[in-house]
This record gives sequence, structure tokens and C-alpha cells, in this order.
Amino acid sequence: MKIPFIWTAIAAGLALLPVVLPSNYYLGIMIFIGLNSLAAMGLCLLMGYAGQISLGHAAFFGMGAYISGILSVSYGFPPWLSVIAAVTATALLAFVLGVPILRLQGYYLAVATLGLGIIVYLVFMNWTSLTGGPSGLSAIPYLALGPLSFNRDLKVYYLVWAVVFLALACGHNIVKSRVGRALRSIHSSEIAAQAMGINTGRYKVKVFALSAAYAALAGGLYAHYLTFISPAPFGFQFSIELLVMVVVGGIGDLSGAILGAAVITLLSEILRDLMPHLFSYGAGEYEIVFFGILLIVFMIFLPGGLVQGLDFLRRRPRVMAQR
Amino acid sequence: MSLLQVKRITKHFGGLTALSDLSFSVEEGKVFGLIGPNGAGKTTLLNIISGFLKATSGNIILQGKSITGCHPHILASRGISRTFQNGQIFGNMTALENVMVGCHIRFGGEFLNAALQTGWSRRQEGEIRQVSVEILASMGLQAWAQEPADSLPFGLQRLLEIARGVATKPRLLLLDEPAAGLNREEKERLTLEIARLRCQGITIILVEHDMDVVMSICDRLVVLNYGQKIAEGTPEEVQKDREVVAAYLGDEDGFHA
Repeated sequence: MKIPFIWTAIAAGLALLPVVLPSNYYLGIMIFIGLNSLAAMGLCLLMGYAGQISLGHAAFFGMGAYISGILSVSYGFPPWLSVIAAVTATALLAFVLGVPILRLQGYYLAVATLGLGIIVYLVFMNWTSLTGGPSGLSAIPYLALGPLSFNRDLKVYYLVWAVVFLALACGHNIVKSRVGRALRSIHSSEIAAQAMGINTGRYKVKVFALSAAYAALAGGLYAHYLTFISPAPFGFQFSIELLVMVVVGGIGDLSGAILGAAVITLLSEILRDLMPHLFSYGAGEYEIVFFGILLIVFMIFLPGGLVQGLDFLRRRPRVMAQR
Repeated sequence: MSLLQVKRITKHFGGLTALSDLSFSVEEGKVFGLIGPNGAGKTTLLNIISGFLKATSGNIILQGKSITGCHPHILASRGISRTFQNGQIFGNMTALENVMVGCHIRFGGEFLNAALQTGWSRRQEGEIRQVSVEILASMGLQAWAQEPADSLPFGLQRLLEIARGVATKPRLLLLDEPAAGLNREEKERLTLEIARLRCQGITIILVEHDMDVVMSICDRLVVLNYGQKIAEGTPEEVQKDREVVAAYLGDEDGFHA
């Protein structure tokens, strides 16, 4: 496979980035951008290509984190194995749940996935014997590969971004293939796709499971990086943030999900610092309002997201020259 | 030998009878016209044959085997493809990609193969592309291959939809009002393309309001009115049928709808 120059440059830039970052705080943010990129890419496969919405994707991120955490803490699984098991289990569960849910379309699907997200969140909160309830699950072991333990931010940084690029390559291959065309055909006209012999129901469920697997992989890495998980980060707000990442980055472009994840994760951090200065009360609540406004602005002015905007800027000089 | 048999098909929508006890058979390699006034049940019948609707009662037989109640994607793999009355090209893809989707069932490769880009899946992709380019060229659309499908002129979008259907390698192709909205030149080109598909051995069921197209290309016709068959025969026979003329025009002046 030919890798475009820009990706080689981005990968090289990311590899050298830790050298110039002033502190571990920024490395941590870069890790979160990577994890969010993974989940957003999964959501992008589902929304941008197959045209199916999910307002509950935080649930799959959380399942990846919890299943992997529980397996390694309570059952003594080696962390690598528990991540793989968590991704597989989440994908299977999404597949089974997807069979009835993805029969629904439009608003109904949105509401069903929203409900799924809420139910899973409540399970994290209330199945205390398994999940630790609101106080969470702690002492999750670091990932380790033989003698190499991913116990430092720097190591996790390289691991997470290696996984991001691997996942991007796989996703890219899928969307450029026969399968990707089938997914896009479902997005455009489900009846025409069926008339072409595409089992649309089966493809929708499969891509739902795949996108859940992406989120679960991010969740698993998250759990073994922070070594502590609680239900709070896996609620409705995170599902919406993932959605905003996909839209802001560019809904029809897998690499846009990474861009969107970077922008939203950084904005989130900035807002967290800024909001308490602006509002004396309930600063945290304004964050979601801000993202809501961002979503609306993008839908109106740049529905193709940042990727489309960049593409336009890149082409404009040439268009100008032709005139 | 008859390729398709429609046997005593009845379809109720609530209290409305859209099709009532309809039977006919379609010979292999022929262009079979399905005509009738608006609301006669033509599209309903196409939807039943292609699996998008279930008949209330009756049977559809393809090459001696019942296909009643099969899903559309199953029927596509059994050799039935179709176009849609309101045009359902994939506007989010290029013209070539539209035809490549049509090739879907003739090739393999699922998520894992695609993700890992195995040599096999790359060869498949090459073949899909080659076959699609050929089909597009045979319809005279090669110049539009890399254009977004929804940027094609309307008449060419119709041809593209037919090309996409042909890419599934159908035995039976159902065309739902392909000439609607086309100008005279485009209609002539469409008629030629349909004739060419017949030469390739593809059987065609054509639902169409444009009588010039119907009369010039169809080998046999069934006329529906209020869900019932009121006439069947060659275009010449049907044109002379008093009941048909009455259904269409309400008088006996002629047959130029």
C-alpha cells in the first residue's frame, strides 16, 4: 500500500513530539487525543460511511474499559489478554444488540442508541459487586509486553498512537474496498443497495460491531493507562462529544475523526481552565452548551467538517491561478 | 420457456385492493411491457416481483422455483435486479463506483479481507474495476466514470442506474419508468440500450407510460387497470383492444397517451 507523504510527515511529527512537549501534562492530553481518535474513527465508520447514527457510543468505550479492568483485576487476566477479550466481547454484544436496534431508522435509531447508552451507564453505576459502582474500579494493572511495562506516559503515548495508525490503516482499507462501497450505498439508498444484492441488515450490524470494537479498544487502553475507572466519563456527554468530534473533523472522512478528536479534546481542556473564570456557578455545564453551538455552526457552515475546509484551502490557490 | 411466472397474485393495502388475482408469464429473452393508467398497480407488482413487498396471496415462480417472499438481496443473487421509478443512484459516489456496487454479489471479500488488504482482495478489486469500466463503456458513459453520479445529466443518471443493474448480471431486469422525464433524443438512446440488453439475453420487464417507447421495444404487453389484467398480447393486439383504449382515454379515438 502506498502511504501518502502527508501521513509519513504526520507520523514523524508525532514520533518527535514528546521531545518538544514541556511536560507530562501535554503528553497526557496527546494520549487522550489518541484514545478519542480511535473511538471517533469507529463512530465515523458507522455514521460517515454507513449513515447510521449512534448517540450511545460512550457505552462501548466504557464496556471496553470495564470488561478489561474487571478481567485483569478480579480474574487475574494478563492485561493484553483482557483488552483483547474486552474488545471481542464488546463487539459481540454490539452485534447481538445491533440486530434489533439497527432495524430502526433515523430518529428511532438515535433514540434507541441513546437508551442503550443510558442503560449501560446505569449498569456501571449500580452493579456494584462487579464494577465498584460510583466509586469505581482501581488498581488496574498497566499493560505489559514481557519485560516492557507501559507504566509511563511516554511509553503509553507511543503505544496508543501506533494503535491509532494501525486502526486508521485498517479502516482506510475497509472503506476503499467492496465492503466500504456497500456501506456507502446503504447510506445513499438502502433499497437500491438491496436491489444490488447487498444484505443491508447484515452489513449495518457488522459495521455497528466494528465501530463498537474501535471504541472498546480505546476504552481498554484507557483503563490500563489511568489504572482507575469510574462511570462518570462514560455518560451521555461523552457520547455527544464523540459525535461532535466526527462532525467537526469531517463526517465522510476517517482521518477527519483524528482531526476532530484533537480539536475537541484540546478545546475541552482549554474550556476546563477557562470556564471557572467566566462563570462562577456550574461552569462544567457550559461545556456541553459550547459543543452544542459548535455542532450547529459546523452543520450550517462546514457540513464536510475541517477536512473539507482544509481541502478547500489547499485547492483555492490553484483555482485562483486558473482565473 | 418462461423465465418468470406470476401466479394469482393479490395484494391488499388495508381495504384497498392494489392487485387482484393477477397471472401472466414472461418468456426468456423478451422485453415484457407492463402498462396501465396511474394507480393501476404496476409499481406494486414490480415491488412484489423484486421482493420489496410481500403479496397477500399468490406465487412468483422464477425458472420453475418459487421465490415468493424472498428478500430483495436474495433475489438479486438469483438474478433479478431493478431500477426505481424515482431514480435511486448512489449520489455519494462516482459513476464508476455505482457500477462497482452493482458488481457486489459477483465477487467476495468481507471486512477482515478488506482491512488486511490480502493479495486476493486486491485482485478482486482489480477485477471489479475492470468489469465495471467495461459495463460503463458499453453504455457510453465512460467519459463520466470519475464524476460524482449526481452531477450527471438526468437522462444519463437513468442509464447509469440501468448499467448498475446490469452489473449484477441479472437474468431478469425490472425497469420502472426509465423514460420518465427524458427528452426525445434520450428516449431513443434508452430504447436502443434496452434492445441491446435483450440481445445479450437479459429478459426485461418494462413499466412505462411513454407509448412510443413501449410500442417500439416491447415484444409482449400486459395492461393493468385497477389492479386487474384487462389485456395481454403483442403491442399491435393491445392497441386495438377496446377495453384498453377505454381505460386509457375514456373514448375510442386512438391510443396516443
